[in-house]
Amino acid sequence: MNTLQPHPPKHVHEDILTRLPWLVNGSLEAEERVHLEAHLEDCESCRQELSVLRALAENLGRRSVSVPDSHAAFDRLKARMNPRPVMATRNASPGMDRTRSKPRPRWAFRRSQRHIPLAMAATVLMAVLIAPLLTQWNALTEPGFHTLSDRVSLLPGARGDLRLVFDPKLAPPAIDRLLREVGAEVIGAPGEGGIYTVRLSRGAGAQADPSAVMAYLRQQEGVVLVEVVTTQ
Amino acid sequence: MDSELTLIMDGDAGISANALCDDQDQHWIARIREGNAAAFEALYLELHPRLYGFIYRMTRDHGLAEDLVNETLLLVWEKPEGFNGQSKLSTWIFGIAYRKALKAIAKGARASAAVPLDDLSEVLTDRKVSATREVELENLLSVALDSLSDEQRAVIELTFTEGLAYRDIAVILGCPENTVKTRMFHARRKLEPYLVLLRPDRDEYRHEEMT
Repeated sequence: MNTLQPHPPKHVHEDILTRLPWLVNGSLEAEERVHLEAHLEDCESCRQELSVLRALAENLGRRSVSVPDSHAAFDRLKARMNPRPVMATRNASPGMDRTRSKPRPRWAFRRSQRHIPLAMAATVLMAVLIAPLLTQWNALTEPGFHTLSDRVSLLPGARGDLRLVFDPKLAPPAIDRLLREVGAEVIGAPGEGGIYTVRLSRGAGAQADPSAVMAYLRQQEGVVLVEVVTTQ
Repeated sequence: MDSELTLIMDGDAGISANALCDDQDQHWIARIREGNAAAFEALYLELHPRLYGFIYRMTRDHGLAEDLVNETLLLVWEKPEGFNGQSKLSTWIFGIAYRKALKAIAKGARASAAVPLDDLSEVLTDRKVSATREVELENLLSVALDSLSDEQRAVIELTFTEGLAYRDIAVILGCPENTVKTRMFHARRKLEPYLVLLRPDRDEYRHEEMT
């Protein structure tokens, strides 16, 4: 300690004393840190306090907490996660790539699965051929009126029904998860052509804009075809 | 809006210039608002260990810590609009976790200290002789931390375990920066009987105290 230096005013000393814990944890900004370090050069009591706080930090840091596996914890949370309506489509902002640099979630689709096999091309072809027939069939079997309480009937340009074809490699649970995510309910089980007919009339997706849902689905890996079931 | 989502803003509370959210935070919250579950999972995996450690140290209950971490992050998934960009995303989330932990403690969730701690020095007096051992010191630290209020303990943990700036801690606790410093000051005073054990010259210090 430099005994020739005058003691700083008491309030300055006390102010610095209250900020020492954050000098210890290294979170002070440069200017503030320099100010405190200058004071420490001439203040023995603050240096002692700093030493005690460092020892406290060291002892606190020695404690260990047994943290459960984060992946398993997330799996438990997933069961409670309600899918939210997709209000905006993904846009390829530069920031998206930063997330891709992180470990990809295990249940996310992989780009490497995007290769379209021959079988999938055949499925698309079948979908295109069968779609007009299904449309006519739906027109014949659907009632020719809608009540005011039938929210689907108010959707502009569509009844809210979509026709979907998925990559054969996409597992049924993944398809089911995707449909739940957009609030779609299967109303036509897939036949040999693998064509799903779904309705956006239940669940969280009921509030979503059908066109936004379609755009979202088209961007999902494993979704081969999305089209509206038109009415006559 | 859910009170747990409320973020103390600059102004009346005396909070200023806390670190704002960065590009990564903006990216994450934008994707979560879109309903992107993969982005949410990435955020979850990054924050889970820290949140768990913080809540456990506040509540001393593993089961409760696990529940509260998931409740906290579920709230982020369901109501991302609660984040207003005036702090780091992790700061906002720690604030939610802190309030949930406080609520749980108020309901009697935290395991109470084995000894009533009106005066920590009385508890430690008989144990000073063996306090050179690290295990014993850790046990004493646990006892010492139990003597603090929940708010004081939060300041200690967020400062020394999480390494957060007092500005960020003020946001998490929803109080002015000066209140954070005051809580730290009083916590440090309460911990004095324990801190004496950490002094390199503690034998000499005790002798001076006795005389």
